[in-house]
Amino acid sequence: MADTDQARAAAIKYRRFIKFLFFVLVVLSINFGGTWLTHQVEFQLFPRHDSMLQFMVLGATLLYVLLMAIPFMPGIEIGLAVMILLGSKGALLIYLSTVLALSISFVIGRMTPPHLIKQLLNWFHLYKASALVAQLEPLDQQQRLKLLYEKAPSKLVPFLLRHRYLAIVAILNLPGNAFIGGGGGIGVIAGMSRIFPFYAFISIVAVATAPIPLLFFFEVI
Amino acid sequence: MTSRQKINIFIITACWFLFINPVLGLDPSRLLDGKTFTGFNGEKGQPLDPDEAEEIVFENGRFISTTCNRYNFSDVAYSASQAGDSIHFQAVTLSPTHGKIAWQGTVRGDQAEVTFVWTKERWYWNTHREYWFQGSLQQ
Repeated sequence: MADTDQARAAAIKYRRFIKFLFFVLVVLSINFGGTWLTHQVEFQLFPRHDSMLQFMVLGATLLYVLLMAIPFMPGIEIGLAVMILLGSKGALLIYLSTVLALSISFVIGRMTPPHLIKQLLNWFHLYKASALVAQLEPLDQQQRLKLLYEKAPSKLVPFLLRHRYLAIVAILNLPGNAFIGGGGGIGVIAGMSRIFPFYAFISIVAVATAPIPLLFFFEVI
Repeated sequence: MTSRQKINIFIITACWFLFINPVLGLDPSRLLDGKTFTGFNGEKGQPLDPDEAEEIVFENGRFISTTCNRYNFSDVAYSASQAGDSIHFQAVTLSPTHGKIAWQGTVRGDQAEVTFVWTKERWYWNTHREYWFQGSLQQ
């Protein structure tokens, strides 16, 4: 009996040791990998690297569009990083990419049956976004829209329900909109709600997402 | 004035422009003609990059960077001026694909120190990077 307990304790210790070793290896890999990556990024850039630079900018922009279109993904952070990297002119690229990304999420919400969106998000392990779609699935149009405004101050909700276009502008610029999935989440919900025609949504998004890129473009910030 | 006198004046004037003027150095654009400097480029504030071998050539009043020539930066007329034992020069090379490079340098003896700025404008992003070159006269 005592021998079995000792063997079990030894096995637990061994497993802990393996886990600890694995943790150390992961930390060391991140450290060495990070140093290597920093070294790669710090190499000198000459005109011969022009194509590579453009490819990197294009890659970052596509990543931004992708992350911005998916609910609960940190798209806006990538967008800000690209704007800072490219300077004032980059604001125009990010602005157009934002409108494109939100249009994609709107179309996904409008065209795709909710259970397929759920499956896709689960496949990507985006369980939070999948839960949001599940939450929306049984709701009617008005209820779906109302869900959008739940994070807004309660006094504003009746006003927002009456002025749904203005509401989208407000929600897209509300700091707490990450709780309902950020820009991508708002686009999917707006698409699923079937309350907004596509052209109207594009117009709203074009206006609502303009202020920050405009401030960057005119070098106010 | 007779025809003979006219011909003499023409010959003297032609000789002045062809031989004497360049020798006296009155044409500032040609102070560095015939010189080729080889060395390396580096980004401003960084060491010279051993992978970025450069050759700058002054020939017939024109300047060319052989490294940048690969990226469609063609040869251009350069301007130069003498200051003591140094010669300062300037040139701006253009490429239809890679933008513009503004060159500014000093040649002292058989050594050249050059700074250059690469700019390329796009609708979504401007490239503006500063570099330096250090090279010695190719014998």
